[in-house]
Amino acid sequence: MKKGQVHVTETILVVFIVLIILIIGVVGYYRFSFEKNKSLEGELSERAATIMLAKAINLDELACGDGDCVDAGKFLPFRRVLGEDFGRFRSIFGRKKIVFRQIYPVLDENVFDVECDTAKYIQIDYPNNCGKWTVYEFNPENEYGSKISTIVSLYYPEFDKYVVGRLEIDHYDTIRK
Amino acid sequence: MNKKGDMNLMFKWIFGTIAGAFLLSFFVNFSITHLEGESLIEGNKMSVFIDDKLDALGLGEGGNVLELEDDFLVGFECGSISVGEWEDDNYAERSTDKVIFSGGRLEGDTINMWTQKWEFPYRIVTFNYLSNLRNYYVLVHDAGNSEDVLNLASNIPNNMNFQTVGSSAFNPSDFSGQAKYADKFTFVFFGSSGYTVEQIKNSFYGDVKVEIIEINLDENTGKIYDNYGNSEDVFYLGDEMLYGLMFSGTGYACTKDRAMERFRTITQIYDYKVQRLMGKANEPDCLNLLNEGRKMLTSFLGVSHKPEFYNYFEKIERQNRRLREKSCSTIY
Repeated sequence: MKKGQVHVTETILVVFIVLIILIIGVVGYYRFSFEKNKSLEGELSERAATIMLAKAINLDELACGDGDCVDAGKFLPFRRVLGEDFGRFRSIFGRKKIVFRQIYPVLDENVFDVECDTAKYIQIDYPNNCGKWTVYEFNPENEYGSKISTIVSLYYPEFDKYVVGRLEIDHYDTIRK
Repeated sequence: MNKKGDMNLMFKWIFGTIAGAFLLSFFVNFSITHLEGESLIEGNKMSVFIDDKLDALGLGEGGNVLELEDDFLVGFECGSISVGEWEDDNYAERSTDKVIFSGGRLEGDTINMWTQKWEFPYRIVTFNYLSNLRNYYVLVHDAGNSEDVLNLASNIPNNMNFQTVGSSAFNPSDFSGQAKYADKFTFVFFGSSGYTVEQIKNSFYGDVKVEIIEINLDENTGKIYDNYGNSEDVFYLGDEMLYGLMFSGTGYACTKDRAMERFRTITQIYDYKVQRLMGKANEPDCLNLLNEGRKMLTSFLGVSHKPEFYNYFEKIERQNRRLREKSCSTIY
């Protein structure tokens, strides 16, 4: 090989190595940015869920008239309204599952996880025949969610009775658009 | 130097120049993409931040200041929050379920806000009133309504940048000094204004936006004159909505429609709730009262004229009182 050709080959080799290093750097950078954005998304989703926790208790669609408790008499009507205009509520709540449970007085173990629906409501032993109300659920991709919860005061207007309840929100790592 | 050496050197220069240009364009392109991405994230983060803050502050009632940490142009259109100018890299828009009464676009590093629950007669939604130091509100009262207006004004937090003046002492040129620093001036006349938008603008220097709102407290109606003098007739339901009219001006009609949408949703929920309560009522008196209440709610849902809204408001409020007096389950 002639001396000139050696120089050209060396130059090409140096540029090639520089390019390889650059590509590795760029790929690494993009992966890092992607991970950073993904964790930001999770962080925002959790923050949104925490705010939603406080918001759901005070949501006028579910709260008592004076705003100090959650009106269990509104759960089934709310679900009915939700079914009539799901798109609007989806834009408010996003990908979440919102559940209210009665936790005190303690219910029978066999009804703790039973969903309260119209069939249960019209029975004479309501509200002791069911233990939870799923007021909203949207999880089209069947993702695993993170759960946050808080204690609430549940009011049964039919019996003018207050019980201790729990609001649980499962949030799926997608920010509301 | 011989010919072969010249060629070799020239080749190296050409190669170096092309490779250098390629690397330079790559870095420039990379930096631009990165900066655009960061800008976009910045705009989106700010819109999420504002939406979350409004959520958090909206849980209670009262005045508050939203610190943005930097100068931003934030738009509160009907049902959306936008950050930045439409053509900017950091422009971001986000839909929101909140009912926000504001002067439209607010520029600066702080937003003054005030939240109140709207009850008609039951709690319907939280109203957010937003303003900043470059949006001025002047409430002009006359001898016949000064007490009512001053009473209304006493509920508004001071950070909302409003002032009151009697119609006899009102002179637009008194505000020309403030107008130099204003983006928008809204004059709220309780009664007839006697001024046109053009007349008021002529007493100001510079290009400040002016809106006039004439309010009839007896009829719960208003007339909004935009910056070009075009007018629009509106009505309001309750003092909370009246404040909304004052703080939003030309943006009022759309925001009011959103509030009415929430009103119908909540009324529908109460209608369904009372239907269910009827199934659980044992006392005939309670059953009758609940049935009457349900009929009122169903009719309330179909109302579209202002007097009827107030009529059913009173009827439902009275019915709820009767239910409470008879120890029955109440509507709300």
